[in-house]
Amino acid sequence: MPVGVMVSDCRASLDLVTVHGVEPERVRAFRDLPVPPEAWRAFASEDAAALVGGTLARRYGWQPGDQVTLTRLSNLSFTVRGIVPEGGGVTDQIIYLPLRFLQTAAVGQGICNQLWVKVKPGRDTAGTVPIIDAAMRGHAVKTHTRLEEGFLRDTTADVRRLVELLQVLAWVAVGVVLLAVANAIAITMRERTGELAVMRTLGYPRPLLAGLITAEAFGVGLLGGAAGIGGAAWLLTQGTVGIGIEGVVFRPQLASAGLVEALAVAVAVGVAGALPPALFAVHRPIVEGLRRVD
Amino acid sequence: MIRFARLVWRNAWRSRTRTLLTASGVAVSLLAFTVLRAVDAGMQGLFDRAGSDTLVVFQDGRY
Repeated sequence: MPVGVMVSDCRASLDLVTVHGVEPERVRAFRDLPVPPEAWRAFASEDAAALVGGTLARRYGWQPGDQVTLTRLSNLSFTVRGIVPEGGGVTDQIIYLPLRFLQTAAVGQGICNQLWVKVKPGRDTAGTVPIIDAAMRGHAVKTHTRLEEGFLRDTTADVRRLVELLQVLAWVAVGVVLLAVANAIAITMRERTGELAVMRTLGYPRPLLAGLITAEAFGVGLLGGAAGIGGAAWLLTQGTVGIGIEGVVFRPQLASAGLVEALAVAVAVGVAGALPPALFAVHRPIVEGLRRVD
Repeated sequence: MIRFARLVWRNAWRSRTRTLLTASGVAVSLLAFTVLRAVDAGMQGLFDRAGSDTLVVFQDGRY
């Protein structure tokens, strides 16, 4: 299927608006677009009818029936006929328009930027690649055919490097707060030196005392972690940011695995931050601690 | 066990300013951590959902 792609910004952007000109009768073989039947009929029969990804529609407050003009995209005007429900996929932030309309209004008659090819079940997908490129050899533009995942990876290579750097920063933030927790517990232990010495004199075993201190930090980690993760979840559900480059758009996603990981990190920060000062405190000589008792 | 839980709570509440400040530090750090990890998850999700039987023909040398 030929596809016309138009983007509001050719560089990496946080507010990317991407238009895909597609053939209404064939696009469903490639993209899941669960819109009401009347929206689909309008998309298939009207010239300037658009199906808009749910996240993008939410970002700009678009509703079915709205007339929209994209001033950053050659003043392209269309009517929103359907909103594609958000599902975390590539359709969330794309405006789908009939290819013929997009060609007439903006990109030029007969012009497309991509071809999407669906390989029949049971056929060798990788083996199809050289056949397509060989068939396209006589055309004005030399082509490079890839699996969709490979195309997405190549297109987003620059943004991916940035995202990898952000992951390093994420773990640095965890390291910093680990030291902060350790520092807070160390100060607390210093204040409680005498108290701990008295408890040990009364027969409290060292592991129990260390456990009590660690439990305190565990609670602090759990409390802070829950607040931080809750705040992040709220931010991410409110946000309609579209990170993308050249028409490939994605947005941050908080899955249950991400929540579990973050909560585990919060608890680990509390425990790991508390253990060294706690162990140090309970192994100090009792006499030294009792000297501090008034 | 409950006796020790009470002791832990009392100890934490005794220096409540420090406890709340430390918890706030953890909260800010975990907020940043969660958001940054979600960016990575969003990007991975994009690749995971790509069609395994779909090919994209694009201009050579562009990416």
